[in-house]
Amino acid sequence: MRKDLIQLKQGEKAKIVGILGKNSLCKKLDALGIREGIEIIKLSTISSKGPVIVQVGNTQIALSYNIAKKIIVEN
Amino acid sequence: MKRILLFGNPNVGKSVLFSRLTGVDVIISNYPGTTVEFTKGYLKFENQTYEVIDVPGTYTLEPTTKAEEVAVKILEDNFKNKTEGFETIVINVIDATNLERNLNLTLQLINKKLPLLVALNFWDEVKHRGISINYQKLQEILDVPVVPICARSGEGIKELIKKLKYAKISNFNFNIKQKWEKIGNIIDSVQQTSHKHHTFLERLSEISIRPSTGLVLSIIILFLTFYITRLIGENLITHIFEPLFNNLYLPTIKKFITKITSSEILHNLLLGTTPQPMESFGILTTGLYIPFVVVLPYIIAFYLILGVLEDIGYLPRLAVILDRFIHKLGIHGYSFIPILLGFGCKVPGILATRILETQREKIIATVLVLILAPCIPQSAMIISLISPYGIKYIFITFIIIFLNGILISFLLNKLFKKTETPELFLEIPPYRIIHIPSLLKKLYIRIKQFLTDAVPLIFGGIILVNIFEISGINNLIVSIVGKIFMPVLGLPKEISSIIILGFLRKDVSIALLAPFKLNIHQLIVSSVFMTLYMPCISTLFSVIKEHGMMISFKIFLLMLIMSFILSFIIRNFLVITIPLL
Repeated sequence: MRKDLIQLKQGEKAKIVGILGKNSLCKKLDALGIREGIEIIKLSTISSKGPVIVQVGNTQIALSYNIAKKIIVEN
Repeated sequence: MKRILLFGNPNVGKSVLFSRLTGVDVIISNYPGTTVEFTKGYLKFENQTYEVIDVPGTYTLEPTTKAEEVAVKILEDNFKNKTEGFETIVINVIDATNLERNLNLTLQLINKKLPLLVALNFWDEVKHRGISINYQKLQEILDVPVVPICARSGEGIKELIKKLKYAKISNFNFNIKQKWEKIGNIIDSVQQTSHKHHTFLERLSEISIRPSTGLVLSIIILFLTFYITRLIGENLITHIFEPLFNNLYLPTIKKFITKITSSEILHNLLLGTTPQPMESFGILTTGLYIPFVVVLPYIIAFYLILGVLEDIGYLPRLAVILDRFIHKLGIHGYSFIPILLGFGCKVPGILATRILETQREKIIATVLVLILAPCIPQSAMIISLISPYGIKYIFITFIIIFLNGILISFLLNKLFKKTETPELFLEIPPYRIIHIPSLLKKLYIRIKQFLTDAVPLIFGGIILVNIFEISGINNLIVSIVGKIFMPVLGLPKEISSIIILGFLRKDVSIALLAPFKLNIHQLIVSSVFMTLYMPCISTLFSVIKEHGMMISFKIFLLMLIMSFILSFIIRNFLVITIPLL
């Protein structure tokens, strides 16, 4: 099922199928290894509109709510 | 001379490697035209001197932040527009526990066709994490020397230095558009992972980024930060800096000046008019007392604690946990660091606003640093002055200041509405054990920088105050403030000169209120007013240095007007709500 990172539950693993947003955002995410086709685990959400923490490979990354909403995953 | 650029992602241990490679002769400088800093030092090996530059960490050569832009510019300056007489090589520092992500930058560097060497850091951690890497094979594929190192223990550093002369331009060719595929292939052939156990540090990491436990932990750590800073700072002052100044420096300089000149004007200018180093306004007394005895001990204490939090890797977690609170003020979690510093002493807080990306964030953070709370010495004085009247008045005073700070920055954010609030996006590095020598080196560099940055400013300020005093402008200000402003705030006009003194040192001037037998209304009003009306002289000049004249002037004007209105409101509010005994 397709959803964004906000909808993904804590501890769930999913595959990134798309990133909505400008090229500059994609570039920024790509530099840290967040890109289409990669597996991502949601580790934690700080608060309802707060940052989301994810794991990609061995890297943990905090994303703002607005960025997390633009990352579409499938599991 | 040869030059080495240490290039790599943030949090890969570049600074520890830098401090391993270089001696004490280390300089921090701003990249021209930016506030981004880089560190430079020297390495001597086999009669050859290398200049080593610790380039700001970057994930990519297609910059997305200011720091990354500078990293790329430094690279371009060295290779495109070749600096005369320099032969440059790049050491790409890689986090071996995170090979895939790090190779992204490595491939981009290889693609630039420059002399390269790869240092595979955290080699000791690889095993614990159930990873095995065939570095010889990696070396074959990348076609540049690959040296496994452990910067913290020093393992592999000698080998790395020996290999410097083998740094080479790689012949590894690939299409940069397919870099991730290529990286995937490399990983498949050089790395194997097996099941790994959760380490203690990983568990701790989990705790610190969960909403509830993370918040509790952050409160504990913030509390400890203040407590320890205050403890170290005060002990340094009372046991080292003050005795040295009063017993050693002061008598010597007095004797010396009296010997070389009999001119009274010069005498007053250099040594001041009264024996107290704090109030004499002498260039060689107050001018040195403030930066060295009053501010420096707190700077040392703060930077030490900050360095520990940085090197452990706690700060990004703090930023994430606190983001939800301060995002509404138009700044993201990282801006909390200057604000945190500002709780202790405003000067390091203001200097730390440099790390922020946008003008808007810098201004809002600066205002928050200035008005959200008094600095630690001033807080201590307010507490001791008000506590005889009951602890609730202390709370009232601090809550008034705090709420006002939140309100003002909220309004300021509305003012900036046109520009976008930056979005939080940052790596949360694993917790690491501190490497004490590089921690101390960083502390040393920062203190040196404070001394060269702030001391001349404070000096200039003292000269200015002297000119005001001699020309009589000072008395004019005191009498205007006494006649016009004090009655409106319900304060006795005698304290106006003390309020002006607060410009020099706020905690002392609050302490000087003690003999005036102020009632509780007046104490609260004067504490609030003196916290907010103007930053102290050291802070004032730091703000000017960071923001320039125009913006600083606007900030100070805002503070002056706001503090006056606020004091007026609380005075009238207190008269109604809290009856005097």
